[in-house]
Amino acid sequence: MKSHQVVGILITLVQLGSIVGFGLSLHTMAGVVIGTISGRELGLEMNVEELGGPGFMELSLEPYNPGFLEVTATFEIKLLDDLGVPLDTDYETLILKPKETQPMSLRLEVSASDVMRIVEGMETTLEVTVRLRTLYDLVGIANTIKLEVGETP
Amino acid sequence: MSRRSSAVLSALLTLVIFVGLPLYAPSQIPEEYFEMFSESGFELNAFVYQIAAIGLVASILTLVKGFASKASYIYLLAALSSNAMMLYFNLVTFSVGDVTKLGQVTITTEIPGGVNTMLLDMSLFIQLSFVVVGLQVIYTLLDFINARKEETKAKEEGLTPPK
Repeated sequence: MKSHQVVGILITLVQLGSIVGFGLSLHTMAGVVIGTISGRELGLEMNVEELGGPGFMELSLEPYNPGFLEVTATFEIKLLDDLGVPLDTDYETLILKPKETQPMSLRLEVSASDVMRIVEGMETTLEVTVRLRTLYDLVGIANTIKLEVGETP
Repeated sequence: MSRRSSAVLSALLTLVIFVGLPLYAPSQIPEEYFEMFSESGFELNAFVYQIAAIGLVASILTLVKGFASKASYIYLLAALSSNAMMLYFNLVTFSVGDVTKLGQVTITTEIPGGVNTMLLDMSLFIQLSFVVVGLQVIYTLLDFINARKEETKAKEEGLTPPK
């Protein structure tokens, strides 16, 4: 076999590998994002157990990996005050094998004084981040949603 | 099929896929989507024109390669330029129009009550594109050396050089 034929075969193999890797990665990551977030309300609410006491927020998700590759998924929630300083943060990292689902729950705890500041009208931002890495952690996507927290009666 | 007719066909196909389609497709997209893309920092028109320009140059290079002798320096230059265009196309595609991002694209969109930021990390495919183009350059050079050898051999034997 001539040397340029060997190079030709190598080119084809790398190109095929790239196309297959690209397709599988996108399919896996899109599947996890769609299966976890889309079509459902985040429905995060601050709960206060006693008047003047601390508050908490809980986010429960059940990420599902419909793809053919393993995914490392990190879910993070943050509550930020008006200066962008985190009042509390929680995160969880899951390794989702193909066709696997795992329930997870994140909890933010807010001190009584911060709850008072929020009630008094402090602008607060809730940040929800989903980070996905696949194809041996070589390909990834990170999606961050920043929402202004409003007081509901 | 001769090398020339196959080059013409290939150039036409490249022209339709990479020039015709990208220039036609935006006319089918509603105006509000353009505004949405623009707000997210993605200039669809600029992206489309970049793809069309690459397609046009690629078509011309395909024609040049089809009509030039494989042992000529014009063919070598056209083939190496084709490899460079392929790399540029991959950079543009995986970086969604901004080649300086090298496959790390951030798309920000406004959603009711907040902002959604998406970061795509496709740098692996940029690295693989560099590997492929590097191999293609080696292939082009080896092919050129072979063609030169065959041409010299043919001249020595008093035969017509292969086209």
